[in-house]
Amino acid sequence: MTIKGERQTHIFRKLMRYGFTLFLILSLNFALPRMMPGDPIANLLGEQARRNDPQTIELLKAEYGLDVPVHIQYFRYLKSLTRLELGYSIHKNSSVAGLIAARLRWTLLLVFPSVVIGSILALLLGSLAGFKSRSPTDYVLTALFLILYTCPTFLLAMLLLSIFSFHLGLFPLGNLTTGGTTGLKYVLDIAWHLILPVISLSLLGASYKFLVVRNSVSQIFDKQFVVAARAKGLTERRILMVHVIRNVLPPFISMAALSFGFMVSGALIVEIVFSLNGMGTLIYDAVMARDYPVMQGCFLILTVFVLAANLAADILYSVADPRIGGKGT
Amino acid sequence: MNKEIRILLAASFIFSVLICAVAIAQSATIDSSSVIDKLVIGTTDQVEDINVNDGIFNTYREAFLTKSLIRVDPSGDFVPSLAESWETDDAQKWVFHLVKNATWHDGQPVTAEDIKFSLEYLPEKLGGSNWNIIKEVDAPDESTLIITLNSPDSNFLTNLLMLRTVPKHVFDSVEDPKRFNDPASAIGCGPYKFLDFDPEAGLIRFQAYDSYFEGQPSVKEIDIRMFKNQEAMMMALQKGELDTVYIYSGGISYYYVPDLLENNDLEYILIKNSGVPAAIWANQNRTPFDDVRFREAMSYAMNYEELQNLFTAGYGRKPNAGFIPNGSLNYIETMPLTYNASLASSILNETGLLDADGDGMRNLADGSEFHPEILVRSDSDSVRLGEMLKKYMNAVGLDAQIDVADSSGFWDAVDGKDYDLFVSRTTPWGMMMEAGYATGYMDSRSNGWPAINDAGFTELVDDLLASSSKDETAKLAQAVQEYYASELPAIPLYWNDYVQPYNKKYEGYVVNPIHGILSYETFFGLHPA
Amino acid sequence: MKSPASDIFAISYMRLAGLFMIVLFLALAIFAPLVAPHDPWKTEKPYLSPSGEHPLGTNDIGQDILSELIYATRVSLSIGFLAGFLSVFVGASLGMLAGYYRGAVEEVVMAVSDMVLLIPGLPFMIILAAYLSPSMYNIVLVVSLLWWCPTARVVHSRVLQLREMPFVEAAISLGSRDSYIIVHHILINSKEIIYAKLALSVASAMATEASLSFLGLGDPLSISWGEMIHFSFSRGGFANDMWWWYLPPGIMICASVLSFVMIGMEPERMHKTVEL
Repeated sequence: MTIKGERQTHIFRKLMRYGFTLFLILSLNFALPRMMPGDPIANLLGEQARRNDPQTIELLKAEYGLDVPVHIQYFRYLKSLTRLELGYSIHKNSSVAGLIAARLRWTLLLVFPSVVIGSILALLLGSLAGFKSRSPTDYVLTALFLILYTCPTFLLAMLLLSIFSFHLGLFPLGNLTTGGTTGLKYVLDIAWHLILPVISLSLLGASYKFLVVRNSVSQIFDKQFVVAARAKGLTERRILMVHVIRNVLPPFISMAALSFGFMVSGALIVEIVFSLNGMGTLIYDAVMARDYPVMQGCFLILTVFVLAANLAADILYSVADPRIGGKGT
Repeated sequence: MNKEIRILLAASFIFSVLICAVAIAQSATIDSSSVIDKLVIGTTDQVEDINVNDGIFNTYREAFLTKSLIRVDPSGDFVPSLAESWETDDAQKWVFHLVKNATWHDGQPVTAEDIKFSLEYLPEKLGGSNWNIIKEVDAPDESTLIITLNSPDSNFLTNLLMLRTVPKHVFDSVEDPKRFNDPASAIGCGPYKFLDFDPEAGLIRFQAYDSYFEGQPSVKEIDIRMFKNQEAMMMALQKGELDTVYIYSGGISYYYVPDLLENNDLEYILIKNSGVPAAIWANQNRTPFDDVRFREAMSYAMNYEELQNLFTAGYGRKPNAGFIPNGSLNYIETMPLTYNASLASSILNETGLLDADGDGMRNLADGSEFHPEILVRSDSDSVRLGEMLKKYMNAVGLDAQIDVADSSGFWDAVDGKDYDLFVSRTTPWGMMMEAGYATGYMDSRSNGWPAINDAGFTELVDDLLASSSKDETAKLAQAVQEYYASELPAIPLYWNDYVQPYNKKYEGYVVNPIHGILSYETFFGLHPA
Repeated sequence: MKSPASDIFAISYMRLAGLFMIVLFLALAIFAPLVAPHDPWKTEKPYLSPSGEHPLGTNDIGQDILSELIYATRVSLSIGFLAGFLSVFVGASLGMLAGYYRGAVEEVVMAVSDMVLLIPGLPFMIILAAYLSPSMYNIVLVVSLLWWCPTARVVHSRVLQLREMPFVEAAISLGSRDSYIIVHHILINSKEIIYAKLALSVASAMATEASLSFLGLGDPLSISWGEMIHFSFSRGGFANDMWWWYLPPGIMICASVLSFVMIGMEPERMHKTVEL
């Protein structure tokens, strides 16, 4: 088989695997909420429902499809997914797809810049630390990022909020905007509100990547070809930038894509601390209220994103590194 | 007269006129400076959308967006709203005479047809057992409304407080009002009309309705800013970004009060809570909780002083056995609940719950282990309270266990009467439910939290519902409180006042029993300090 | 040119430091009754600032924070250890079986582990944790359910390597039982990897538990460091700037996670383990 053919098979197998995973996750997504104790209808009707109005309860059950046997619910679920219908939220009284659409952009707006900034920060500082391995710079940076690595997300977020928003008054106390602005002012307003959350998330994302980059760089730096490059008479800076980073870059890019899932988790906590209207707070509210459709929908969308990011990472890696995807070079 | 004098007189005259004009202009500006352009209110209650089903948006509907037939004034009396007068002979047939000049925010007049429509449409589409008591509604003419009930209910006006009238000409064609989020769904007839809702900013704005039939409020615009947690909201209040805060049926948590006191720009009002902020409810379907002596013993085991210190930060009062907090209508003094651990122990000894196996904890009469479970919600406050109660019960030899459940699980267990004991508050509104005086919580035909199996109590409740005079109601209310005091179906743990903070730059906040500071008196009377 | 030896020393120092800190934490946990100045469940005046009597003040129901902090070591460490051990046990077993028997077993295990790795951790755990009642054991279960995968993958790779080695091949041709080979040859030679993964799993478990507790999904009746921060956030500690209430547990979480990471860190490959 040609190399191209082998790579195609490889990619095909990967796609199959991802597809299978997706299907399993869809099913898990369906089954899991239903294994839960608690009934969403009870939550919906509130205090008045304590008087057990059975008629209304039955009506609502029928309306939201909870009255048919489980396997029929499952088929309905799969069918509606093909139409991108994610159901209707009992608790929030709005379509799930609508809720997610409104909120997803804020989570993405939080996560993407954080991934990029965190990655750049990690790449630059990690390379620096790896290059100057064992020096004071290295120790200070490594210690700093180790602490960031172990620091719980919520603690960092809380501290930033307390110091910079409350005590120093430099940033708003939460929410996405102050309201009432349009156009450029609106964009700037949102940016101002997102600065601290993005900083929190970037720092946390950068911490792990920094450590990896640092280790990779300090190892590669010891390798032969760098000695050879030195022999060519290039300056140290040139060596670092051209050769070392080029070697670190492919795994780094795939790692950045892979960390998407991790960032989404971190974003959830950041959203809660900063009162942002994103997927994180949506999931949290939905879980507290036992809102099945919203939980299913959110979980599904998030998983699809993470799957897509992982698939992209996988493909990027195999494209970037010719050693993968076939036997021999 | 010569020319100079004439000129002088004319000049003086003109000068005086000018001075008067300036004086009048001055006072005019003084008047207009008692208007408040915008009142910014912070809250942690979240509005999802503006349809008629959104619970939190409905609190704003009830408070100022639309009107019912009657409303409640600061002292708790029913006063005219859309109905300028009403009468009933038998508490079963109610006749309301409506005002003639009320209009909807789109200019259309409010008629009896609209109210009849609301009373039929809203229960049909949204449910609510509040309305089951209505047999039929008639609108014989534009300004008369007759409501006939299935059975006499002297407390019917309380039910009407929840009526959030909607215009028939808007909702007639709306099939599913729960999904109707168009701005038209927020059309009401109250002093404020809906302006806009920005979910990303967490901001809802209302504007004074200039054709409001009762006159112009002094607050021109109300901005409701929603926060996801009380911390951020209180920080905003401290920094002056909010004029005041509002929490439905509640006040701010007490641990914010110290900072509040230190801030010279902030002041606070104490609102007497007519609900019970924490009570322990015993399930009388289970032994030994059905034994009144057991409940009595439990009531002596609680350290009310300590509970007050820890949970009300001094803004509370020790409770009486009659359950209804003082300050409520028809309140009577019943025996105060006291802390007496040794008395609790001796009563428990009498009930036969003795330590049979020598492990220091009491066993049931048959010798088996006894682990009474206290069900609490998983929020921090409830958990802490549960811990304290467990401590008190352990101290008198009861091996109490805490069962923590989050919201859904908690209410499931409560509904299914699947508990030994549980801790929950009662809301001011809830105290008024059914026949009032917490009967909505106690009567097994409604919430029935204590699972009372006493026909005498049921009779008492029915008598209250059928009561036709204020005196009769007062006597029955008294009997109900005496019942609570002697039978102890629920043990109140403390009474409290809500702390309602506000920024001193405006004064004239008036508290309404149902809506807190979102009262008509506030909106019409608030002015710069 | 820096010698490989200095690398090893550096890692050793790090490992030693980590080990030292862990021993300290363990001592704190075991000897809590002796070290703690007060009974952590005793309630006195609430919201006190630090003083001689209460070096870290008191919490919202008047319990001594320092004593609470010390006793919380037990809870946080136990959850961490239990979850760590459980996930490594499951992961290592599955990894070994997959690597040794290959074929269908390998396909299934690796596919499942791939799938589980792709699930965004915290949202999934929040959903699970909310379904199950808030108890310590449920948290352990929830955390282990996701963390067995890294161990399984790493053990699987190692087993694949070991399989090819002469002494294993010799044992197979000698007709030794599979179970004997797995335990005596494969397992013994995988132990460094497993120990490293164990340390990292414990670290992850502790960090995750802290996040779940902070969100209010932990066990409110066994107070861990995360729970302490949860109560401080929801009962006015944060609003009143009571840093002595929420910073010390935060520092303890950082320090304990750090110490486990330091033991488990390998110079060649850093693994993403801490999902917060």
